[in-house]
Amino acid sequence: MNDRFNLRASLEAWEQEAAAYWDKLTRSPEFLSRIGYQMTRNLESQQRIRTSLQHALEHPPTSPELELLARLAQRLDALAERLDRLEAALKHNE
Amino acid sequence: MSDLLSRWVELWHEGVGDIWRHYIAAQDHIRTQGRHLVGQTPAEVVYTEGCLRLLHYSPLAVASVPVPVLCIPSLINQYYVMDLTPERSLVRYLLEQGLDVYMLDWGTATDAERYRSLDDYITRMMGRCIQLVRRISGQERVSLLGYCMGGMMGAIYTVLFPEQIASLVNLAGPINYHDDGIYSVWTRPEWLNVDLLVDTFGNIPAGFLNMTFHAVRPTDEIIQALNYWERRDDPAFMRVFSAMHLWTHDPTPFPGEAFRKYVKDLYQDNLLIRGEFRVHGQIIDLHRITTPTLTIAARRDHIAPWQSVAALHDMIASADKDLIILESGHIGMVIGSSAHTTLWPRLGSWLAAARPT
Repeated sequence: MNDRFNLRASLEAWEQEAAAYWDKLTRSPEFLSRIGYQMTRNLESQQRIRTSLQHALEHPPTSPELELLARLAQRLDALAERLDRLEAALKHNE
Repeated sequence: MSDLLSRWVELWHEGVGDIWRHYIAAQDHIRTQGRHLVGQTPAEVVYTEGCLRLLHYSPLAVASVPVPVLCIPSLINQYYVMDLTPERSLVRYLLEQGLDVYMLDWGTATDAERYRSLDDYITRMMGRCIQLVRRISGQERVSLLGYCMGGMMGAIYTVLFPEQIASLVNLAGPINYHDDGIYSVWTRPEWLNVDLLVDTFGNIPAGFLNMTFHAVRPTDEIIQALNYWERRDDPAFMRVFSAMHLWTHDPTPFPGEAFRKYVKDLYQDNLLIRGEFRVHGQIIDLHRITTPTLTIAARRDHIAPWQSVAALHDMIASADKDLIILESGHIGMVIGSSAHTTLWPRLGSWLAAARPT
């Protein structure tokens, strides 16, 4: 490790320069426009997710898609039962 | 840029990497230590309202000043910055000078505060606290000591209810929001959609605020890590360091509607300085202030640039007014190692001179 005094002096000098660079960067309209654009998109996405969740909560599963999903789930359950029975039968025959 | 990065890599390998890892690993411990040290001056909670508390400090000297002092911190930072540790406490100093000191602790905003307006905070909540201080102290008028955003709030209250205020201190409270400060740049409507932010978040989360505070100068944290590393075995240093570290990482959420008005009307449209800011249905004309007023700004303040704070001094009509510009930063001016010589005595003597009627 560098000796203590040298390390502090080097680090402080680096920090001053880095801070000045950062300050200039974060004041530039290009940088701020980009950050602002990303933040706006992010917030809009969050709003859409929230709206969708709220919509789902306010509209219980009566829509055709959800009914279809429920029927699919029933068929999958039935298939799983058949597989269990077939597996059991195979074991019995072995 | 590439030079900065290559030098950073060199520094990292020369020892900064080890220091940083130790510092990060010690974060929880440092904050826990800090938690035991902050806000220790004995006080009685004399009023609560939602998450707000009004503290009345126990006297530490024979009361020599009749006019009570109400400290108003920022809405979004913990009040204990003014009572950081027993050895770095502005509150304690004022008590030792024989002042009767109250503190408005805004608390940590919850969802219940989401729709509370800035007007509510200033005229109703602050107003009720001021009425209570008047009643408890038996004094007609109180002195307001507003720090940061609390300075702006105190000035507005003084415009609206001058008969209740004996003297006003604006300690680093921004008044002119179109300044050279970084927040003035970051909050411009070209890149900050305040409505979208509030409508999405409700209250502006403490984590988001914390990120913006540290984004002003993120590299400062590495110097803090070095300070910690070099003096971690010095108990006196570590007491103040822990408390300070806790405070700088402990903001509270900004109530949504208050944030909307604060940023849009003040930072974006600068209505206060233009004499068009409305609170409680009234235009806030700072020129109407005739109350004795002390304005204190700091030349290295990145949060509230000194010109922005000093604008109050220039605008008010008070015959009795003073302006102090300190050679420090926004936080250092209140609790820095030289605050007890540069700020506290001048502040104490100003407040002690307040006339009750």
